[in-house]
Amino acid sequence: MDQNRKVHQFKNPILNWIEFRLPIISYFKKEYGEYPMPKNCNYFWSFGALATITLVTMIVSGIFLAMNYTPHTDMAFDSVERIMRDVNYGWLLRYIHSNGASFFFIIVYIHIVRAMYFGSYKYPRELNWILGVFIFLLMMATSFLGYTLPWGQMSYWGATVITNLFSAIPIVGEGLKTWLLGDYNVGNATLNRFFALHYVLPFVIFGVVGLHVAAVHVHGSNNPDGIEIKSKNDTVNFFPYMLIKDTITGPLGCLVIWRRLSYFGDTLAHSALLGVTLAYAFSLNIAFSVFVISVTNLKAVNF
Amino acid sequence: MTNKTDLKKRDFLQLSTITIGAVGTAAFIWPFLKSMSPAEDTLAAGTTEVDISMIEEGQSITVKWRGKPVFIKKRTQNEINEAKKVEISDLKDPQADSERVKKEEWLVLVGVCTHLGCVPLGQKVSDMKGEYDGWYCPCHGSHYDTSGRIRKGPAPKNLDVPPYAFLNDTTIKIG
Repeated sequence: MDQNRKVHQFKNPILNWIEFRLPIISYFKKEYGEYPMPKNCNYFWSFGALATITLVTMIVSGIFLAMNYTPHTDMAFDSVERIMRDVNYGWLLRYIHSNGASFFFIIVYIHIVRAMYFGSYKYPRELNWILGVFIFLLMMATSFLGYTLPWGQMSYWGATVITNLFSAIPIVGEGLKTWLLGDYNVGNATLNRFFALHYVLPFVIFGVVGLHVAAVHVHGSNNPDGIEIKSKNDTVNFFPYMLIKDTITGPLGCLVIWRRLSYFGDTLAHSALLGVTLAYAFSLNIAFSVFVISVTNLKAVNF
Repeated sequence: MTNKTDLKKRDFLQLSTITIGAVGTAAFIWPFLKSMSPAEDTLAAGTTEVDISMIEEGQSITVKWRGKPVFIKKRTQNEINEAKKVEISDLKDPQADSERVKKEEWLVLVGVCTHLGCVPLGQKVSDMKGEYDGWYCPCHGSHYDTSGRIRKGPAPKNLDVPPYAFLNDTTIKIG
């Protein structure tokens, strides 16, 4: 192999050690540090980052919910009630997950509208749009599967109605439906596989999101004028300029979600929980800001 | 307007942001970590109430507490005397009998050998009780006396005494 290839040099010897073996540091530096963003991008361009943060939040809260959930028709509902009543902060995890799912879609809708309004789907970014459609389809499938898991009336009939759609397909419909359910009716086999798929699909989404981001970084982001970037003068580095923008929208978006979560978490939301959730929302905002600061170097920012 | 950087101000901003951020991150992670510790219903199941009125002198029963066997023994006067007369300095894990019981005749022990976690024999009349008339662990041969103290064998410590209280003369609450 090429021992003489040019290796990026950093001040930190540990980074150099890793960089020589796996050039991941310079990759991040290039793609998330020096990545040129059109300098006229407005706040609509933050919604991709917001959607990514939401995806990660959904995966993390989902993993912790799964630690206490039982995918069995006799026990699923009780295990969800146990999460709400007995598991420490279980109510918070579940509210994050259920409200987070709604807000994930709202954020993604705004992201899609941005792409349509400003023409981000056009040449040379068509594949981005196509990958985005795949992500959207996966999100719909995943959220439907998640909706069935609490195994209440809405879950059961939701599962019944949506799977019955497949029975409308001529000739193979009934067989297809039975194959999807693993039973002649919505039952334990259905719940079990729905849980397995609900757990794994978000990671598939995460993978496609990786491709989606990698693809946009090839030709660079679109901008509100729809005129392609001509020179370096039309851009600013992603860090700090765009990341700072995202650190403003991130916490703002969180506040909106947390306000909703606190007041309308469900129809029986207790006002006593408000203080806790708001405090939690505040910490989330701070945590996100500090993430940005710690992965980068504040001293590089000229205040 | 000057372009000179106010380094002191910048250091202050950096330090205060990181401090608040660290506190925020900890507060953010806390509910997630806390959700993994035993839930309220699990904790509520962590106490066991036992009716001891049926236990005859010399008899011992086994109850389940937090998934572990607990031995409750009503000791005979002989057994009490035997436990009391031992020289404390002879013991591997020195502890007086009085430190291990609340009422002399009642001995409450977690029935898990302190060596590698087997359940010692000695609860049934037909069981081996070891060389010190208490309990004998069949796994690696640890002998416990009538106070549940380790006397011989590989176990490093006396059998644990769980937290318990007499609710009245005939009921104890373990945990």
